[in-house]
Amino acid sequence: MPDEITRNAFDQSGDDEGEMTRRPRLDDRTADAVFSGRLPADREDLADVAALAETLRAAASATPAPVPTASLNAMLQDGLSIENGDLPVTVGSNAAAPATQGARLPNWRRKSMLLEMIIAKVAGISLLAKTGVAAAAITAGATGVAVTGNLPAPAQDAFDRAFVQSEDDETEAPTDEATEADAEAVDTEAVDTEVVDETLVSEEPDTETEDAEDAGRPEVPGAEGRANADENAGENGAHGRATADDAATGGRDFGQQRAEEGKQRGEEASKAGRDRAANAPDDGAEEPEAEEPEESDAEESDEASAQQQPEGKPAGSAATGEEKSSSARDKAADRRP
Amino acid sequence: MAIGGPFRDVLVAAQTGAPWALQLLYEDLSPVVAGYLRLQGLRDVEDHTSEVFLGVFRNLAAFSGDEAGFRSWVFTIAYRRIVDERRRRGRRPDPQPLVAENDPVGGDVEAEALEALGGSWVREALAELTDEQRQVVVLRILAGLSADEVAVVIGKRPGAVRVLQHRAVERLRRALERGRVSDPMGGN
Repeated sequence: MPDEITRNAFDQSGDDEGEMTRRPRLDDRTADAVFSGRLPADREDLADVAALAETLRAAASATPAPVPTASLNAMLQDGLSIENGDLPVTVGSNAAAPATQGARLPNWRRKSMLLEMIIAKVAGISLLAKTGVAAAAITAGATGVAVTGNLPAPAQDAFDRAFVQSEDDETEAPTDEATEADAEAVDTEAVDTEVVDETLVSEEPDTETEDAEDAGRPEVPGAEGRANADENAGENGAHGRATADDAATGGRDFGQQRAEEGKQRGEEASKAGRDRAANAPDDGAEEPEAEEPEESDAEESDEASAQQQPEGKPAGSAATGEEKSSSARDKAADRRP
Repeated sequence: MAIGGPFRDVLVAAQTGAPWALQLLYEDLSPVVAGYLRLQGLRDVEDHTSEVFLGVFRNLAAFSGDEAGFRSWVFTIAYRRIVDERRRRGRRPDPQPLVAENDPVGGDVEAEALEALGGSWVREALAELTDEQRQVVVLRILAGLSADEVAVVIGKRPGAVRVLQHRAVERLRRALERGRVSDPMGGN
């Protein structure tokens, strides 16, 4: 049936006007009129509603104003005090003055928050920083324990050796000085040798050396032999002295050993020199000339020269070697920890 | 229910704290606000009305607009007061009244006030409506607000307000036709 198909809620065709009455929608104009108490022209069905609105509006207008409370009455009588800033001030406003903050987190919550903050800070740093901090802490702790001597025996021995080695390294600075002094001594020996040769050749007086007395004496093979022997002895003594110095700077045991060797070699050299001097032709009381290299040497050389024998025996070289050896031993002994 | 005269001058004077302007605003709007609060079922209507106007005057410097806007703003504060009071009542129910409802000595002050608002038939007719429909009808009738202004006050869309007012009018009409409420024109 077509009529049944076309009938729906939005289509009024086929409706039984007597059974299904429809009222027009309440538009804004009609609503405004009804709520204002006026009866719309085409909506007589809303007359009762319009009458109700009119009655209500009239009653409300006729009602006197309610009695204000004390605070409102004071405001109505005195007005708003805008000079004190009361006008924009509300009940919960801090416009007039900052309100005291009475509430805060409880102490247990604040402590827990502080702990959480510290943990977060530690967790926030990088892995490298963590590793560095941990290594520094471990190193500091281990060093402290080692200084107090509480490490296990092998570890403590290793630490002591390392500590002593580092101290020795620190005390090696004079060794360098000694090495330089030795180098200067070698150079000085060469210069002194030249001085001796010049003295022998030019026969000019040398006021700085004891060989000045022998300046005008003729050169003889025996004297040359003595001079060579003394020179060798001096070199050997100087070498022994240098060796002793090296030994002193290198280590006490090794230094002592080298000092002994130097001493022995010096003695042997001096003995050989005396033998040569004894076998040489006697030209008179000639003074040995092998002491000169000690003149310009270090201060030890002066002492050795002072102890020179009046007979002209070249014992100064051996004595100098012994003194050097003994001084090396003393130095080594002083440097012991 | 217009303030009359230059509303802007009255508003500026009230914003500067002039007592006469404040009194004028209070006398013009407080009866309507009190009726609105009363028809919404609040008790201690005078105290609530005073609190509403304290809020209005303290925030008066922040308002800017015309008279219709001012009325809408005042009823917005009153509407929020109703919401707060209903919420408070939900958390803390009122104690039992000291005077029974039928006590002839104390009487029913609110009923007397409602009687002043047109009689018991008005209260009975409005009782047929839901809370939202009653909000819209009372604001439309007493405050004289438009559908859009009511939407702003109660926080709904204008279309929803129009639907509510349409259903409220239909319900009032059917109730009056069925005679469930006495016709004021016909007398009780």
